[in-house]
Amino acid sequence: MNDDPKQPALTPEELYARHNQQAPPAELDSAILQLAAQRHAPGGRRWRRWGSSAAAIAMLAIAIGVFQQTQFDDMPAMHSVAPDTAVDMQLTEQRETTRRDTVASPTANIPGMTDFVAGKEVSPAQESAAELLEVVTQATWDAAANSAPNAQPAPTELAAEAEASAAAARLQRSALKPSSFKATHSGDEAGCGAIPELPAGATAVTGETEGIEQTGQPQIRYRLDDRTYTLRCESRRWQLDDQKPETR
Amino acid sequence: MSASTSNVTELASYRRAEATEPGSDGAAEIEDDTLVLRYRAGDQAAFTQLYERYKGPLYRYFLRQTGEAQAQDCFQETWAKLLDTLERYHARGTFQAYLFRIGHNVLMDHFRRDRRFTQPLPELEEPASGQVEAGEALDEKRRLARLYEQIGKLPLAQRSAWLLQQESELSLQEIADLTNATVEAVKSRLRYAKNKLQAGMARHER
Repeated sequence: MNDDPKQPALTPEELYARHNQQAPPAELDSAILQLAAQRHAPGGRRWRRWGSSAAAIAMLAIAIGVFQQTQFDDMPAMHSVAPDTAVDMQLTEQRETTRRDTVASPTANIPGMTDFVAGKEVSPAQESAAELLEVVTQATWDAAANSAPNAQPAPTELAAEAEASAAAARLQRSALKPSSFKATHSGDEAGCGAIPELPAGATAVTGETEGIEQTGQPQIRYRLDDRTYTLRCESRRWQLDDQKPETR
Repeated sequence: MSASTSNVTELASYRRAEATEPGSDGAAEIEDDTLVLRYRAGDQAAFTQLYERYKGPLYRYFLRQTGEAQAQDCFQETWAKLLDTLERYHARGTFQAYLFRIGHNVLMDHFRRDRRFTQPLPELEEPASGQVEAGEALDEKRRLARLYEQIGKLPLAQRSAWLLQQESELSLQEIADLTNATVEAVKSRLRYAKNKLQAGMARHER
């Protein structure tokens, strides 16, 4: 208590200003400054931009390579097809399988979106390439099957995981978009499956239902880094519209 | 305009800014936008200057609204996002407004993700045994702890507006922009926050 009448108590603002000295810990300082130096390094930004794609491509290349090696080792010595030809055939078949799986993925072409199978942990060092491809393929098909109208999820562990991911996405979605949207429309009705999880840092633009009224298709608009994106459910898939600059 | 032309223009503009900067002895404070351009041009020290300038206010903005661990997460995430977008940053407003806008969005996302809202803890440090602290200093620490407690009890919108005003040099318009509110709404929030804090402090001191 301030008993001295000559010295009136500080206002909240004055008291706050007098003591606002807290700073982040030194290790946080060095981590952020180091990050800034890395981003600034030649090629750093390029790697950041293409990092995830490059990692995916590298993983797939390793998978195909090991798969190829495994198949080649299992081939009879007197195979009627030359080894090179067999390799080409298998590669072609593998590419076709991968292409089909990628197309079937409900969020495969949406940048920044988390796929339903993204949470599946597989280690190429511990599992053979054949197992890895099987897991990815199965999880993708399970996710697609679960998101289809009236489909019953397969009683597998992978299906349960995909469902858990979808439930988590729905939970987050309900927090981000207006309740009226949730009550009247969902991607399931139009066959697009659950609405994909919004990327980290995105904020939903509320009250945007004009697209639904005009086309009858669900859509979500969200903002990220001062840009507006629109997700539309078209042709049974979630499509990301072109980026539009901030208009506000 | 091509990317290279754009870079040349930016470099030229920052050199002009350097040339016209008051007090070329380096003692004068360099403008934020100039530091951004310098960082883009390869000057790592420029970023360090920017960071040193705003790390305290931004960190305290988080700290007064969440727990310490969450404040550190938000703080780190904000700077990482800033670095991601710094290449695209254009001086439409102030750099400070840009930084706090990212920080505010990060904090809101944090609240949405984690509904278990963490109130900031009062920072009342009792004197160690054997150490006699002057009564006045101890009294001020107690008042400060109560102030932090009262800040934690403010509604989110009022708390954000009040803390932004205390920690940054943002104008009412800039606070309104980054909290998606009107200037009148921000004024109203600030008035309510001030009244509640004063009332809360007075209640304790009776």
